[in-house]
Amino acid sequence: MASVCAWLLGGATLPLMLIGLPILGGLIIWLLKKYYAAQVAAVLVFGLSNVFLCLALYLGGGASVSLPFAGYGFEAKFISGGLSAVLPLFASVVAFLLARYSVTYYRGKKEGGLFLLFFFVSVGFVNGALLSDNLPVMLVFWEGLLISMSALLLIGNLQKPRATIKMLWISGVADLMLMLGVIITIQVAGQSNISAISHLPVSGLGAAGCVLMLLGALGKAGAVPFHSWIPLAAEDAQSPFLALFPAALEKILGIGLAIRIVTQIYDVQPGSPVSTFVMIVGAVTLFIGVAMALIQKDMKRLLSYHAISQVGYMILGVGSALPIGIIGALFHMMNHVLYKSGLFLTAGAIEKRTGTTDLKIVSGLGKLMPVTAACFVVFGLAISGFPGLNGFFSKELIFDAALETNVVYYIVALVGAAMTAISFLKLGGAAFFGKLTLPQGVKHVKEAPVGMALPAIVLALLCVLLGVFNQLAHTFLLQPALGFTESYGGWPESGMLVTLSCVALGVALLDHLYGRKKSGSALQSADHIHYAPGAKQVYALAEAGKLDPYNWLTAVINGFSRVCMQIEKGVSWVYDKGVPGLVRGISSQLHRAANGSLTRYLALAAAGLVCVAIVFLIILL
Amino acid sequence: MSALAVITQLFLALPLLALVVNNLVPRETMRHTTIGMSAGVATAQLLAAIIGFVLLSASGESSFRFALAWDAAKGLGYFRVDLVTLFLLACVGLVSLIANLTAFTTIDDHRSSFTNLLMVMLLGMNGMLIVRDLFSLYVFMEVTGIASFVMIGMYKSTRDLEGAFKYMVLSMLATIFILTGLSLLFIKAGSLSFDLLRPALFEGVVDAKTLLSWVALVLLVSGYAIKSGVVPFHSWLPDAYESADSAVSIMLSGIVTKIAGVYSMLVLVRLFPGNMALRGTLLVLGLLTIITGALLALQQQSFKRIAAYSSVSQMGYILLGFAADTRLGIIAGLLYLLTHALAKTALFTNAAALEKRLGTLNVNEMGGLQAKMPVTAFSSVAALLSIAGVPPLAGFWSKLLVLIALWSAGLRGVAAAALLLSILSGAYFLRLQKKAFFGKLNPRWNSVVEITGGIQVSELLLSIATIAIGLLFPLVLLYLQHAGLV
Amino acid sequence: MNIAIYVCLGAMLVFGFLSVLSRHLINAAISLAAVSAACGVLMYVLGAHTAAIFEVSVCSGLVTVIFISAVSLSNGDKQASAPEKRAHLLPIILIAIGAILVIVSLLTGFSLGTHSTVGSAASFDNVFWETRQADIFGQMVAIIAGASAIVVFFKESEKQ
Repeated sequence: MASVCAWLLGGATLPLMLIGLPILGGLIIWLLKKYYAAQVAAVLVFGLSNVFLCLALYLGGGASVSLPFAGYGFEAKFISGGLSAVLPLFASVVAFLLARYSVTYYRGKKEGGLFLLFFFVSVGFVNGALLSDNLPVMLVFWEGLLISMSALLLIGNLQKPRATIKMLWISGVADLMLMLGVIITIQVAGQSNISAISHLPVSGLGAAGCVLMLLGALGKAGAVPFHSWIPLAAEDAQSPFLALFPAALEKILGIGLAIRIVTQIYDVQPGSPVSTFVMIVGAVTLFIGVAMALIQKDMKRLLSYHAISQVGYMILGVGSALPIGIIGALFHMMNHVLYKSGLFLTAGAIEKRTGTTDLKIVSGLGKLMPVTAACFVVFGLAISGFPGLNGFFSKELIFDAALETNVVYYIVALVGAAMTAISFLKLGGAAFFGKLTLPQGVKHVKEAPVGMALPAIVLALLCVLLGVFNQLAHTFLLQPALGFTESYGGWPESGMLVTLSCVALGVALLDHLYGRKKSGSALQSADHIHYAPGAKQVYALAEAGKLDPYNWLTAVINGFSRVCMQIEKGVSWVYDKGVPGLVRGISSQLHRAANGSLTRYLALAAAGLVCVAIVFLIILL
Repeated sequence: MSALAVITQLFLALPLLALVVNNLVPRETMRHTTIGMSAGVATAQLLAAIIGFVLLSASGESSFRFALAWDAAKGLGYFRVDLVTLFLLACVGLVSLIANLTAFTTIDDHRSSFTNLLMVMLLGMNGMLIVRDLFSLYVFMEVTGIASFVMIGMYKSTRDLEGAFKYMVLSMLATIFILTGLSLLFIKAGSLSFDLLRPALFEGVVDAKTLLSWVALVLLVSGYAIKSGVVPFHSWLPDAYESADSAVSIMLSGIVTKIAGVYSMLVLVRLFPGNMALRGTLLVLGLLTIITGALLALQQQSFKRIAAYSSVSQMGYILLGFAADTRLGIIAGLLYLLTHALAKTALFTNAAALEKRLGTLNVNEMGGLQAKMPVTAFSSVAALLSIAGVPPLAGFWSKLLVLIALWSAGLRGVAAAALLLSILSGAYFLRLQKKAFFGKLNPRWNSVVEITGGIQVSELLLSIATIAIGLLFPLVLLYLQHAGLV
Repeated sequence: MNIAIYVCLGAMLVFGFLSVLSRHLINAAISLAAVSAACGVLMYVLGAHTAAIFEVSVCSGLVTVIFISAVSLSNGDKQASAPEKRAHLLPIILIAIGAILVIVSLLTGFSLGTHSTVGSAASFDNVFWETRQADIFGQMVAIIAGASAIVVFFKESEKQ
């Protein structure tokens, strides 16, 4: 027995179990969809077993398994170690909490079984993508995730699949880039195992491969211009999906791969063109995300824009290619997963109890849902970078890297931080601390159920934990993951950066108070920015979708298809009317010419003789 | 005396014998007997030609010379057969057989001369195929022509006589062309024997005498073109085919124009290989014929006229095959001739069946007949699919061979054009089938029943032959590949 | 000799035009017969005696005569009464082409000459009876065909 356990836990089969077990669990949970208690138990069993397996992998110091497909010259290799040991562990913890939450969220709803099935399938795929050492195998899981993700997004939205279509389009383009990048990378490296590829030169073909792979990875994480499906999904999809995908899994995968590309696969140097390119993408993502978040009046939409803007920080960190930036990006990614999932969980709690997250309809719930409100405060402070919480420490690391690269990035990041704080002051003020308003027909709003409140509380505690004891995170997660010996933990070294961050928070608070006073309500506290001269027009355009690359692309495609349609019509006309008409016309002319007159026949034959003679002459001369 | 010597005698002796026997018995009461006899002659010729083909190809000789029985003893050899002519002799036998089978139904008791004329026509065509001299070729062509005129006008209705008369007048023009051409050629070469006519006639400095041979060639090509009904010399052909009895149309379309016109062209091609002007003219005439014939076929209302114009159009492909001017091209043209003869004969047999049962050939008055006349409909569809070149029917393979021949002869543009133009044959095919056999049944034909007797037998025979040849054609291709031609 | 050739060619040209341009079927046929006859003479003059005989006997003689009689007998001359449009330009073009051909041949002094070996070495009888058996056979068959034609056109009844 013990030997079996040892073989199971310590052996090479672990990575395979990590892929297979969640999928099996999903099936079982799906079969149990009618029995809530059994479902909860199953989620606990499979969620926790996933966590424990990952923990075993992490504590065991990694594992490697290779499945050669004899005769095909192809092998599927899974390696765990470093980043691919830490990220699955982290993902398993978050996934477990979200799964526990989802069971309660979907209690009594028909689509719950399917949702959990695809939830766990996604977890299996994520484990596969994180663990696979072989680039094509990783792509297989990556694409598989696209399927389970669109299934999750479709659940409950079968009548209105617009978000799914948009997501498939955008992710499809991003994945195509990733695929191209992978192909080029394999070409350049001469092989496909990540562990065997090391610091390929970023020049010529390698530059194209590096940029394409980075675009694919960052596109998965939601960087501009691959972001625009997320706000749409926020309108259509349920909170658990948003907490799972845009907030957690996509970031873990995308940023994880981007870090691998920058630190291991390619030799990206700070200040190199690729680094600059990525940092520009990061700065733009950051700014657009936060600027759009500022004006949202729906909690889920607002959070979804923050999911975009926070990616901007991570991209800035990765793109700097400095150790401090990369560790900051990884840390920020983890922190973001914690607080953004948590924020979506609080939004889900409000949605569950009131049926909406539109702040114009529902607000001031703090007294009715005190636990949710408390959790929200922790998450909101964390995302705003309040000193002492986890978001503060990771953001400071990225600020450091940005400032070291170029002051412009730092300014963008700092302004972004201030705007984040403004929008969360507005969000918190409106949702929990303003005047109580409830949707029509909703009388009694209770605190969220225990099954939903507990995961949020755990996430909030984790936020505090990683903030207060951030040195622990560095020692046990970040440094092993990246293999760094130097520690970037502890209180930030640069006092100036901390001061400036605090100033930014202070400015945000002042602006919030000003806006609140001017407009009279927390919800409209950012309206003076929204309707500021110049900004108003840009926002109007953005809200109308005029600035969405997806819409541009759609317009281009529509235009193209319209042109094609016209060409098609023309061609059809030629086939249906033109050619037959011509043929019929000529043929009836010929028919009329052959009127049975003998003299005409003779003349024709004589003309024929002349023709033959002419042909002879032409050929002979 | 070798077996070939006996067989070759049959080609002239059998029709002559039938002619004599026909006129010895009181004919008016024995119509079926005489037609049966000529069917027997045709069958015998078919078998004799096939056996002769096998014997000759087994012997390894390129040709076999012979003469009429009384001259053969003197050691003369003014006739000859080779593989090409034996192949065509077999085609003549086949089509004549079908014509006779159809004639059982279509020829009435007062047409006792039909078999006489048919035998004369057979003699004429056989003669054309076995002679060794351009002038003799002309003589037998004229014999074939006379038999044709009279057979077309056999019923002496105004329409019949008009069709026959047009054919005759155009044939006269052809005669003038041909004879003038032959005279000029004779002046230049001093002989019209195949053995003495050489491509060298057209070589050397262009002086008055070389010019003569060129003019002669122009005239000969034009004359033969009239005989084969190639555009722009085609105008007599639909009138003649339409007015003639179906049995006669079968002969005319199936084989007469092909022997009288196309075989003569082939003789020129074989006598003067590498003559660019001849080749170019055949190409131009071929393409023009394919296009114009198909376009005209699209407009016709009468089943027979559609078939007639389709005949015109298909003749173009045979000319294209010859124009490739290679052995493969000639073989492709000949095979095309065979498959087209099968299909076109089938169509005219269908026309006979329709005329017999419906009393009309106007396709607009037909419709939905496949329910009432399934055999006719089936053979008509098979024939038209074969003509349109749909695999795996016989017509597809021969068209493919023609295209391959053109392609390998370097005439790629022409091959592509010919391929494109075969769409047109699909067009009139579809139109005809839609109007005649498919769609809603015209209530007028509720009591129509399927044709019986000789026509049904020949319909089935031809459909089976078209399909069987199509299925067995890969063997032919293998043979050609073995011979190094494909 | 040359004059006879030109006369025959001219006659052929003229009758050829007549046959093409004639409104009446019978006129057209007779013109054609005349063309054949002229052609026969031309051939004889040029030394192609056999050809001439066949041309005259088969084309201008037998069949044409039989046909014209048959057509007149059966009132088949509908062609003549039917009004039709004519191409007015065609005769002019044809005449112009003919005239140009004649002028060109006269200007270039185009001379056909005669072939020395034809007709002189072998007598007509020789040619006719000893080297042309195939043609004689053909001629016999043609006569049979003519006989059948007479039977068809004058003995058998019309279609019931």
